[in-house]
Amino acid sequence: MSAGQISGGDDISALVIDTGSRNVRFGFSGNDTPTLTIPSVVGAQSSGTETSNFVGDTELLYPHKHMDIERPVTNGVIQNVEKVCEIYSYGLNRLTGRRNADLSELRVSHPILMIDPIVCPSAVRAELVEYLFETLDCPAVYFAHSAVTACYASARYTGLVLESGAGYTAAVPIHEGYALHNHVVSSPIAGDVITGILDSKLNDKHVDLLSPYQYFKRGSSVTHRHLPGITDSYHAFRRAMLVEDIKESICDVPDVPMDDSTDPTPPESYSLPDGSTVTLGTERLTVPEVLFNPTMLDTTAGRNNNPAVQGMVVSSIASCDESIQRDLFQNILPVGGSTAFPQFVRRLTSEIDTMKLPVFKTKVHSYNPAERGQAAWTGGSILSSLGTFHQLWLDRAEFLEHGKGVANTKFL
Amino acid sequence: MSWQEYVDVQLLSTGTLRHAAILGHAGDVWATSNGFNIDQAEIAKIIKGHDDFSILQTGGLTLNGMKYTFIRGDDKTLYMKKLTNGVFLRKTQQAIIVGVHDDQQVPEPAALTVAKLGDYLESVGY
Repeated sequence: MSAGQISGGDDISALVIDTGSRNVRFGFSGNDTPTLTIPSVVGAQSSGTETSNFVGDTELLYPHKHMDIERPVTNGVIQNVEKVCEIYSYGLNRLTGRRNADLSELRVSHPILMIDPIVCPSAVRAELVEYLFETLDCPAVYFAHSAVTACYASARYTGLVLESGAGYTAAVPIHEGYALHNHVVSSPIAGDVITGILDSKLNDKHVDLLSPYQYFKRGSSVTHRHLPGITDSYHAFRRAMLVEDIKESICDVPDVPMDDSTDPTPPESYSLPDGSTVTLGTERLTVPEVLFNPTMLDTTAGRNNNPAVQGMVVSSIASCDESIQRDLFQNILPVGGSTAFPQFVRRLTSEIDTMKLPVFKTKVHSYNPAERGQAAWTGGSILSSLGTFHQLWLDRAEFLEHGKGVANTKFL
Repeated sequence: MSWQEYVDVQLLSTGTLRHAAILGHAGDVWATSNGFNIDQAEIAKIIKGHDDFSILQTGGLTLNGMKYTFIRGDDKTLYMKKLTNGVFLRKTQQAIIVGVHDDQQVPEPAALTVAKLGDYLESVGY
């Protein structure tokens, strides 16, 4: 019995979930963009023996007392499946419009496409497939890697996907729709590392990064507000959100290699929520430069000799069979939020050209920067709405027959 | 069940594969499907390739006149493909199962068929 017969083919729209280190994106198959994007974070508040889990912007932006912020996804990998399932239940509940008060009663009648990173361990897929079939009662499931779906979103089956989000960066060669796992080059230097560097630069400048819950404002006078019982992890979470917004608004990668000794760059300013401004000069460009030159870091990440993005692209392609290298060099696809800096494509192109590869022409393609962070989700939406796709789902019968390991065997 | 029956019944009649074969680790052919020819040289590559992927990554694998490119491998199963054709190579304790699909089938169910037989053979000591 094929999966198509059970899940009804084109009639029932699939749900697509892309789990990142910073955000989880939920939406319906066939749509251009996700309907719901929430942080990959759970706020855990314990009172006595009970723990409440807060998920989603509304709850997380409210400074609940004694709420510890937990990040179950680090460097792209789901470390705590149980916590991540809290996020899924919340998101699916909102997406399907159920408004269940008790999320443990949530059941989903749509097939679900889960997008995971290329670095995802097989044990994680096995645990997730159990949650989907046994807890959510889902009829059918598919797992795809974010690099593969991002490639589809660029209307290609072959290419070198350079994905860089918050938690990790990876150069993934895709050949005719399949990721060449054994030729992937990855690095932990990505958005979160950049945010961390920017945070310490702002600290050095003694900038007070106040989020709305931390001050009273009357007219133009601002007084600090200290709410009791707010955890350090919550303060850190809100501060990181603000630093990320500064990064996304005024930072860029330089179009030539640059460090702190280079001539000053025209500064740009950012208006903080409390009305004050922070102005950044050369740091605007030298902070994201870590993607192209990780040795600039004098933290442990730099000392571990992580590769630069241009090196990752070239070494990944060079490790592949010669017959496919030309196609890969001509289809370099940066995706993910950390590739969305305005000059990223231009800089990557010039760095790869500088590495003086004699034989191959290189072409770095620019996926719409405003949507680059969602490219993997969009590709998942495309994949799950292809006519031929409904025969490929993993259905409940196959899960019961083969066990949870089937999620790794069936999906390449 | 004879090895030929394993090929014809357990593998081919599922409809998920075009061709199949079961080989021994020493390079001997235990059974193949009708019309499926594997060169001794390619068999040697399959056996060595499970331990050293580079043998298959450079130069690929040619079966029945079709040349496949290495896509991925782990400690038990290798997958190679050419356009919409693909081959799964599953190593068990004493055997190697070769499952080929072409454009009339899709890889995912073929993967499951080969995995199922592989797990079963391992459970009975093969």
